[in-house]
Amino acid sequence: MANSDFPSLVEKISRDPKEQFKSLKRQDESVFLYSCSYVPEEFLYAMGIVPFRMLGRSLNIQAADRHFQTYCCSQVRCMMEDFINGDYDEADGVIFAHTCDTMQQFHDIYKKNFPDKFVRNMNFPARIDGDIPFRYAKAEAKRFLKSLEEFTGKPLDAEKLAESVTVYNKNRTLLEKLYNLHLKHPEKIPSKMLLQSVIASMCMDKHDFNRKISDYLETFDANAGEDTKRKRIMLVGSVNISEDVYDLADEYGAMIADDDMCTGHRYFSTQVSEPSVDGVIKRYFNRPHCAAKHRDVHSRERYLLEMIDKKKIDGVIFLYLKFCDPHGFDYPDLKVAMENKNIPNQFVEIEQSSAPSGQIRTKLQAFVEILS
Amino acid sequence: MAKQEFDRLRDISSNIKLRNIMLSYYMKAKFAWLFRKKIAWITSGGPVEPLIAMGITPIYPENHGAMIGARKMGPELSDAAENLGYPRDLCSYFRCDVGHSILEKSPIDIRPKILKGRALFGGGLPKPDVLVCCNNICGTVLKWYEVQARYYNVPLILIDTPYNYDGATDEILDYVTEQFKDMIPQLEKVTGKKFDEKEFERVGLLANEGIQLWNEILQLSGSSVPSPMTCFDAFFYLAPIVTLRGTQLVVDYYKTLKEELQSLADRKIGAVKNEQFRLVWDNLPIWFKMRRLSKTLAKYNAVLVGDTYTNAWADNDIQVDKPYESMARAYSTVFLNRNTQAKIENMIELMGRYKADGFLMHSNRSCKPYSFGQLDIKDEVAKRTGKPGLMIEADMCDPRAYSDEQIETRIQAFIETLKERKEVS
Repeated sequence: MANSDFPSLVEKISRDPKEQFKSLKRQDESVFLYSCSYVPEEFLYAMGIVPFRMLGRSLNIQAADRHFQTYCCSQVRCMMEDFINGDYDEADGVIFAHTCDTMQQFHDIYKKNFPDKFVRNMNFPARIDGDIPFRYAKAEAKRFLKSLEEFTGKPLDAEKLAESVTVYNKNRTLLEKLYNLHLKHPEKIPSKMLLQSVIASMCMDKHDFNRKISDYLETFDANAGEDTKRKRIMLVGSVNISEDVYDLADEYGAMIADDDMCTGHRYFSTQVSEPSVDGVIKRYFNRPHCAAKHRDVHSRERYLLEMIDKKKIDGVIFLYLKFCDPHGFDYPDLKVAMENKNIPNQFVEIEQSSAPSGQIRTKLQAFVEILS
Repeated sequence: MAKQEFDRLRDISSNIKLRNIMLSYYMKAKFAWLFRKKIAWITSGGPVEPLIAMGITPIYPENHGAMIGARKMGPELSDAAENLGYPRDLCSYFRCDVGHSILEKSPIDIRPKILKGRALFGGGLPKPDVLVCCNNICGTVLKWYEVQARYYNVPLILIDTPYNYDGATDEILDYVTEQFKDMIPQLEKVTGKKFDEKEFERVGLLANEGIQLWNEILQLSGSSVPSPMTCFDAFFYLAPIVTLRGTQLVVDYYKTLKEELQSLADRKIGAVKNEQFRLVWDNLPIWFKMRRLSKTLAKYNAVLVGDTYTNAWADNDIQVDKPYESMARAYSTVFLNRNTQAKIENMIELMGRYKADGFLMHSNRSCKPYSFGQLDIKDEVAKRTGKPGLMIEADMCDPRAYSDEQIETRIQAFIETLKERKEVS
């Protein structure tokens, strides 16, 4: 067994990121919160800023109801509640990126209610399908960078950016390794550790995270205890912070083998191929994309089927965060695509901050039985 | 004045004319194939001028959605989409559109007597040859058009107009300009015809004229006391500027409408008999409750004098010397693509210009970008104007969560507040 504190560390941080945030501030780090994976973290990191992913944690939404109607996704409502509660008052800045309508409005509402905070938006295009949007994204990245430079008072250093890209690429490689190792050793690396690791990675200084995960992977005893018989489930959706589905899959003798989630594989997929501003932006045009972005009308289906084949996936769970429109639109056609290939699939609706319902448990149990 | 006498005085020719225009528009579209004309489905905020210039018939699923809502067909068509797995929380225009595609059911259902009541080529919109989607109104349309591009297996032309978080930046304008230029060869491929710049110029000028007239109509009505038109009327009169923008027909129609409304204004004949309370409306109409809400407000002598929705088509300006650049600016800066602070300023300006006593906000479950932010907008507009606002939660097309009693009780209480304020002042 690996002699490393990595598993307990990622468990602790992913379950209580607010404490992790406080810890970073106690170390006098400059910390910027960011809203989603379309924020080019490499730029911030190159400027000496620790990017910290906002993921709403409040269990009881009250104050946010004064700003968001109940038909807004719980992810955004929880984040607003956290902000109003003052959990992130010490953040040095908040960075949004354009994705869905709800996040777009969240930016405006946040900015209006926290007028003294440094708030910027990376106005990423909805299209990621060619040269025209790529040219725009590069120009927008430069505009975005300029505002960061004004804030920090120093220009982006090319060498620092190259170092930042190296750190981030290494992070991607290491998380990829963890995912692959988990495929062979689901007993030693429980499914939930994938989620915990990705979330912890989003909330730590990447260099520190890389060190910890490297130690863990290097000391991992890969020779013993392989188990490749478990049924492999892939999760598809937007954001999820709950370990429930991961735990239930393991409990019923299957495993979460891979995912296409913002809080999972989509976050760390695809390397930056050249250490430059353009290179960082280019990655977004190459990596598996969020449902709110457009590559072509079949791109998500193609990618999912490819991954299912590559990772030998037995079944797919569509983990639908209620009111997440982009994924709601994609689901029925993706479901048909799965059915055409005889891939069992299950729709599971989740709400952030709510406890797992008996329904989810029953659904998971029945689904794993179908796979067996 | 007796009600009959009041209705007679308000009897204008524009109402019948509009019905005929829209009927003729859908008939022509339905039979476009006879004239070898291509059909493009396009979003309500989409750039229609190049399409008109190329002789493509534009079809607006959102306008169709409004018709579905008004005819109370929303639940049946939504159910069909939901049975496929589309969540009920998605835009009801979309759900109705998908439902109508599957069931071939719609308010547009041509059944000539000769066929003994059988539908001619199925009910619903004519099938598209191409889809043109501009996301300046929401991100929803992007996903909606992706779904329909797969369903009909037709090309999708996407114009991405980034939201104006920090205004319409040079980067945004360059990007949208490039996309408009790129759109032309794509349309040429669909039609097999060469794009005619001169025709485009002519259409652009007609679009400007129509927009200008529509703007004048809204200003005329909103600024007149009493107001000769309510927003319930404007939601109806809006159809031509959305669907037929860039044609002489629209220009002629709005000229007549303007004259008729001017005549009503000159004679002090309001839309509501004893206008007492002037209100501004925010968000899309509740299509399936237009008549009932109109009557409810009229009962309390309240009139909707202006709204943020119909204004969305009132300020485009295409310059013939820089058509793509000016189109980029016009389409990037539509109301819904402006940030929340700009929406606040717009609302306050409307309230002042139209001497409003208060405002009604439709918190529309189907339109998240229009609705999220309303709670903050309501607070600031009320604070800065000193006028109260009421928010009602509903949906533009889906009546399944709507309660007449609850909404009307709230409106009644709101009117009482307005009355008390008037008495005090």
